[in-house]
Amino acid sequence: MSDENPFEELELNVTADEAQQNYIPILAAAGIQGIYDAQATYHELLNQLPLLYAQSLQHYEELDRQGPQFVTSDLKVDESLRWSRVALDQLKICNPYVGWSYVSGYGSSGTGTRPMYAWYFGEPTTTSWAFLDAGGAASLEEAFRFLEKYPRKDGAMPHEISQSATLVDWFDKYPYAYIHPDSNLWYLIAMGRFYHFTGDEEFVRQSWPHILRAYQYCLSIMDPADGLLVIPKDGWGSMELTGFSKDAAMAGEWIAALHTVRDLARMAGDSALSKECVQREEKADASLEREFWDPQLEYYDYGLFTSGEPVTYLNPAIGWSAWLGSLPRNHAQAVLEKLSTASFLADWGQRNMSLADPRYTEGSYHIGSAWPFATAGSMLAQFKYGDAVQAFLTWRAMLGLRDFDAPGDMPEVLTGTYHRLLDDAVPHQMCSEMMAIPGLVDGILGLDLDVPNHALKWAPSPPPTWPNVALQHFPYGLEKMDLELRQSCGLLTASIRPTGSQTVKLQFSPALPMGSNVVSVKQDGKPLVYQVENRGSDALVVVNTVFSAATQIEIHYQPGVALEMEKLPLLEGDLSRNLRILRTS
Amino acid sequence: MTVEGRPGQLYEVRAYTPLRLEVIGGVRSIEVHGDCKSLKLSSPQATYEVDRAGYTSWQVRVKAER
Repeated sequence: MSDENPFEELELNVTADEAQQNYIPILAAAGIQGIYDAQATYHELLNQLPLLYAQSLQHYEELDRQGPQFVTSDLKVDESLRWSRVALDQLKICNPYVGWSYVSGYGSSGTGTRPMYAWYFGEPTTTSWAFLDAGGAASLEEAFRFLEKYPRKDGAMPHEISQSATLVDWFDKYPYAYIHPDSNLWYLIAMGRFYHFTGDEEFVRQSWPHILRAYQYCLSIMDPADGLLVIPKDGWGSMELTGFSKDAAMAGEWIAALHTVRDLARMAGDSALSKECVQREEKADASLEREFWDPQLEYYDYGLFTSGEPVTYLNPAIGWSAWLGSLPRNHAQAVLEKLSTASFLADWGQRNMSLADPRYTEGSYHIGSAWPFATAGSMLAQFKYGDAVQAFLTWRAMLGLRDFDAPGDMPEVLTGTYHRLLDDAVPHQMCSEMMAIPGLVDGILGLDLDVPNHALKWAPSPPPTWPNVALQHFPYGLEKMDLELRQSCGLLTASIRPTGSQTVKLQFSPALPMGSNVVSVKQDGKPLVYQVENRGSDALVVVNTVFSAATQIEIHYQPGVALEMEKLPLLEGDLSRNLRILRTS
Repeated sequence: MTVEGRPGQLYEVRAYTPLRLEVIGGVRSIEVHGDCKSLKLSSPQATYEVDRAGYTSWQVRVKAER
């Protein structure tokens, strides 16, 4: 290979008939001198092909069978969610120098770039919901331990670690390892999520020194005047560009991180730290609203330039703050309504800049594209705040991306105006999986586990065309649960079958069709006290109860109106054309 | 409902309800198939004002009666 043409081409001519009649393995082996012998690996692959194939098949069968099962009324949805677990699993690699962990994606590096996302990022933290919901708590543990090996001396958590990190002076001479101060925030948020989801106190206690250091780093870049974080010079916030000092979306993440550290400090018995976090959270809350909420626009400003001037850009990343619960309810709803407009929301996801902004540049990675990951935050928040009709349509559209380019995987990013991948987009991206299983578990089913406190919140808003939806063998700490929802005209039935016998506090708060009148709520035939909140778009029924064995809750009601939008099909290259529902009441 | 759509494009929103629906505005027609009511929508403006996405917004008002 020459420098001018640093690649070789391999062309295989196989007809469809030949492919159907013959098994044609394609082997590739590479080596590292003294560690991996490429020739030996190649011959081992060739000689043991049937065995390796059988082992691979067994691995995927077990992966599919052993995790929680997602059973909806839509077979295509079920299939897409099964592939999500495979897509996450395939990102695990071993670099003999750097260690075992999860790379962020796979894509062609072309002739002169890095191996795209096939190196290590902090991304398992931003994708923690997907790992946990898919039954991958152990995978998340591995990713945490990997990241905890590489903090900077001041506690900054790594954003990205090259495959060559130990062969060059990666951590000191290159800026990328610690360029994202919000890596610390997502590490803390994910650790809190892991704790509540798994109840694994021992694991979190082992991580406690890292949690403290990550938190203390945040304090080291905090502006004491308003309690918000300042992006270090040449660092990135929610937008991967320099020149900004404060970032409203990052402030929302900071508020969520403080909430997490408060809970973890309670677990660790550090009441002083817990109180400190409460005070810091209150201050950060007030500062975010005072400094960045624009009542005229009914949206948050992006933040501040390093000069201190405000940045007047409507950043969709604030949708994540709505999902994390860091915004006042009315402001969260106003943000989500704006993010649902056709200027912001393409039929294939959330644009990173509104088309109404004159700076929008079609095809730009930062200001002219649509990201499944960015879409996930606002979509999940829409389910949370009662915009399930639009959220469901968005979710179904995003699941369709799994068939779009690399079947089985979710792509990184599409262009903002046309339904096609960005030219250099990665076809298999970890964080895009935040759209898939969490869309069902955290969005449609509204499941929120609090294992350490023996509690479970279940706030489903099932689409009207799904007569039933179930999670089978879903983890609840060391136990498993089957949860099933069935609906017919005027009757919603929720069943829970735990494998254990611990008493769990349950808050069940399903969204009934708008205008519904509740007739009765019964658990195993006995009446329950309930409250109804009319949210305009639906009627939220709230019951608080407990269970320690299989139980069933039935809600009888006079039905109101449940809506579902028709989805218009799209071809590659199309413009958006589907309807947007901005407000229902 | 406040909705946005492309001018000239016909949309369908399905309402699952035993209630009787009466159009007040923003709906072209309703087809009834038992408890599934199909609302046919299109933007009502004669001269369309579209945003940068090529969309226009309008109000859909339907009365539901038991």
